[in-house]
Amino acid sequence: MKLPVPVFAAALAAPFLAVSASGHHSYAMFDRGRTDTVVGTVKNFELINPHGWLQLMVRDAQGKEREWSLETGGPGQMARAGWQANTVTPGDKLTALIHPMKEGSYGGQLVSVKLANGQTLESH
Amino acid sequence: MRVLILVAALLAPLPAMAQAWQRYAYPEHGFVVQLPAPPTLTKGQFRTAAGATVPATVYTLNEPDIVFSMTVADFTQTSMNRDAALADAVKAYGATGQIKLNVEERVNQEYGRQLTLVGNDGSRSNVSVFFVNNRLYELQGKALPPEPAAGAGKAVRFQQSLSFVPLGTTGPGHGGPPGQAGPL
Repeated sequence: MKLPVPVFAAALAAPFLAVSASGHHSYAMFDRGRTDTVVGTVKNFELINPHGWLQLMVRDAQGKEREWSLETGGPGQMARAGWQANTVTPGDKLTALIHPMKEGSYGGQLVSVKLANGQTLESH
Repeated sequence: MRVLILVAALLAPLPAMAQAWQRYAYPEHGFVVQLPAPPTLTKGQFRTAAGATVPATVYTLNEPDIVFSMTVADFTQTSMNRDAALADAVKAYGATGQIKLNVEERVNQEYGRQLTLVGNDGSRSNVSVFFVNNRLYELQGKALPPEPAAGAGKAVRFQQSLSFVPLGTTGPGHGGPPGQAGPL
């Protein structure tokens, strides 16, 4: 049986495309079946490869500010979702939806943010 | 008086500033991590579960609330296999505290384990262990007691920043020399 060239090429490329689409690592540490809300102040936002980081200062139950590391999509994904490097800047207050770390540590995978002006931006 | 004011201004605490993380690439060992400052490198020995020793390189960065470390143990002159190496590493961490989470994780094309560890010393760590090219990689972001919550977020970022690159390369986009900060 002869496959048409495009089908043959697609079959050859499929494994590589699958790895590329799944990112530089899997998401085993994140609880992707759960979405939590965290409210805080931006410490830093880096729109970098292979994925960006939103460092957010969040008050814990004792009222102490803790630094959370929220992993975002890569620069391409974020740009397509409407993000720019200065979409959020240090000192901005925002509400973030995240898939939290499975063991409850101060981090997670960013799902979306709601900015102080009411705008909502997706991350992935 | 002016001198006193100047001295007081110099001694005053600096306002909280965002610490810039950088990308550090180590082609000799084929990995890249992100850190808020360059780590120091020490050469030594790694003791295996069986009691043998192999050469090891340890990259360490100490901060007041956290210790970032990456140990690369060279098993190239041994017959150690991946599953045994990872099992031994997890068991060794378990002896230092309580493992709260132990999951399989993929980084690039490599599969290893990611752990969360509450240490007997009151610390809290995010750990990754991989066995690649006959080398054992143990990454640990150890948020220190008495307040491990202060460093916990940084431990998460350190752990999730790990990438593997082909030996002898710094990976795509790293413009700086090996072992020095490159663009993120």
